[in-house]
Amino acid sequence: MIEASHLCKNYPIKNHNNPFRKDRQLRCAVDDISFTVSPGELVGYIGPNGAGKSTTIKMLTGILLPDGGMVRVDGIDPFYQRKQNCRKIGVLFGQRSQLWWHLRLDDTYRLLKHLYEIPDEQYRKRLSVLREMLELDSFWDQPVRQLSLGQRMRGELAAALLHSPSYLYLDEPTVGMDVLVKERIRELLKELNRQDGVTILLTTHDLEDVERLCSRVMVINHGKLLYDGTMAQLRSRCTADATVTIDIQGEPTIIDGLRNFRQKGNQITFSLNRRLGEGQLLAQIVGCNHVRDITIQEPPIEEVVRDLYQRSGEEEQR
Amino acid sequence: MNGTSYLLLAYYSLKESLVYIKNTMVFLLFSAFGLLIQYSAWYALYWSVDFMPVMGRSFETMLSYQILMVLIRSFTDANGISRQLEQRMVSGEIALDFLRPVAPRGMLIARSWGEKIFQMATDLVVFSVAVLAVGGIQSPASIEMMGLFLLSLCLGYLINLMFELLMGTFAFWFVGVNTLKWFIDFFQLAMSGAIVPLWLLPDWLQFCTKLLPFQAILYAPAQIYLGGMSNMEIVQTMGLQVFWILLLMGLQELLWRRGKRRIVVLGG
Repeated sequence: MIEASHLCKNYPIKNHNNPFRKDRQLRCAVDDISFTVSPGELVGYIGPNGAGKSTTIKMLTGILLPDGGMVRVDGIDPFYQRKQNCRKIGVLFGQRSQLWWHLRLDDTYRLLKHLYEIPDEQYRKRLSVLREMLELDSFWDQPVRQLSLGQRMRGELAAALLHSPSYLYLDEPTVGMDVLVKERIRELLKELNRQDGVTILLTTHDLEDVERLCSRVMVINHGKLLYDGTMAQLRSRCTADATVTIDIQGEPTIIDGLRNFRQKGNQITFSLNRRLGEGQLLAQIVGCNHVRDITIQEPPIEEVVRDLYQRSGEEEQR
Repeated sequence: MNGTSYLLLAYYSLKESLVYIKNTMVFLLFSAFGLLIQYSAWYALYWSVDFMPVMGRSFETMLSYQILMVLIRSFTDANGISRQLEQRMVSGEIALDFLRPVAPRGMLIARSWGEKIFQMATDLVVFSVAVLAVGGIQSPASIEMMGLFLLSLCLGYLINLMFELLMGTFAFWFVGVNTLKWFIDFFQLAMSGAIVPLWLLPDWLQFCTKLLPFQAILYAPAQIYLGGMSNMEIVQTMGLQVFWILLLMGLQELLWRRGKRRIVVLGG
C-alpha cells in the first residue's frame, strides 16, 4: 500500500538573472497532498505541465525528501529506507534512459540482474517473458544508441520490470510513442496489473491512457490535488456541455432556452449542461415531440480535464 | 555489498570509453609531449650547472622522478568523479542512481575505474617508452621499499578519491562545481609535486604544501620510491596520508548526508 499524507515540497526558484544576488523564492511544487493507493490498483495521475506530478513520483520513490508530510510504501519510508524500498519498486522516467547508451540491451539487463541480486533461474524466465511480451527480439543485438524511441522505450520498460517489482511508477511512459507502441504498452500494463497484481501509478498527458487503463484517476494542478476518484465521477463533476441530438418524426416543436441550437431537417442538436439544471429542458422537448431517436454525447475527456484545470486556475487567482 | 555488479559497472564503462578511443590517442600525445618539455627544462637547468646535483639531487634522480610521476599521477588519478557527479546532477541522471538497491557512491567509483583502467594502460605506454628512451630509471633501494611505495601509492589514490568525492558533493549545493575545481586544480598542480618536485620550492612554500593534502597524493609515494627517507620519516609520511584519508572521508560523509536531503532532480 502506498500512503502519502500531507506531502509538501518546495523548490527555491531564482527569478532574476543577477548571479551575485542570493535571494530565492520558494515555489511550492507539491502542496499538502494526501492519498492512499491499495495493492493491485492502477491509478492515473494527471495534471498540466509543472503541476507537481513528477515531484510527487520522486518523493514516492524516495529520491526526494519531502519538506513536509510523509510517505510510506508497505510501511517503509522510501527516503530513509531507500535500499529496502528500491527492491520492491520499478520506475520508468519517460524522459530519462537507464540503459547503457553504447551497449546492447542485454548488457544493461545483466547489470540489473546483479544489482538486484536476481537468481539465475528467475532471471532467465523473467527475461524470456519480457522479451516476448515487449517484442524485443528484432533489435536485441543492436547497441541502444541505434534504437528508435519506441524500441528503446520497450527496452526501458523491460529494465524497470526485470526484478518483478510489486509497485510500478511510470512517469509519462507513452511520451513520444506512436499509436501502435502506445497500444502495446497499454496492453502490457493491463496484463501486469491483472495477472501479476502489480500496483501501478502512472502520470501521463495522454488522457486516452487514463481512460483505457485506470480505474481511478487523480488530478493535480499547482501542487494541489483537485480530484481523486473514478473516471465516471470525474465526468459528472464536469461543467462542460454534453451535446444532445434528437431525431423527430414530423415537424419539430421548439421550446425556448436551448443553447447552441441547430436544426437540420428532422434532426435537432443542442447543448445540455446537467450542472445548470438543464435536464429539465430535455424532458420538455421530449414531451412535446414524437421522438424517434436520441443520443447524448458526453463531453470528451480532454474537455473534462481542461475544465478542471481552468477552474483550479481561477480559484488560484482569487 | 555486491561485487559482481561493481565489476560489471567498471567493465561497461571501460567498454563505453573504448567508443571514444580516438580521444585517448590525443591524450596520449599530450602526455608524451608534456614529458618531453619537462625533460628539456630539467636538461637545461642541469646543463647550466655542469650536471652537478641541484638541491642535493642528481640529474638522474630528477629524471626518474619526472618519469615516475607519469605512473603515479595515472594511478592516483580519481579524476572524473567530481566531474561525473556534477554531470549527473546537472542532467538529473542522479535520480537513477538513487533508485538502485546499492550505494550510489559505490557505483560512481566502480564506473570511474572502467575509465581509469583504460587511461592507466595508455599512461603505461608513455611511461615504458620514456624509460626506454632514457635508458632506465632509478629503482627503489629494496623489495621492502617497493612494497612501501606501492602501499603509499594506494593511500595516495584514496586521498585523491575522497577529495574528488568531496568536490563532487558540493554539486548538491552549487550545481556547477567546475569553476571551483579549476581553481583547486591549479593549486593541486603546483603544490602536489606533479610538475615541479617540491624539493625545489623555497622553505616557506614547502611548509605550505604540508598543510594541504595534495603533496600526500603524489609527492609522498615518489619520495619513498626514490629513497633518502629514514624509516621514521616513512612512517610519518604514511601516517599523514592516513590522516588525510580519514579527514576527507569524514567531511565527505557529513556533506553527503546533508546534501542528499536537498537533492534536486533537474530537467523534469
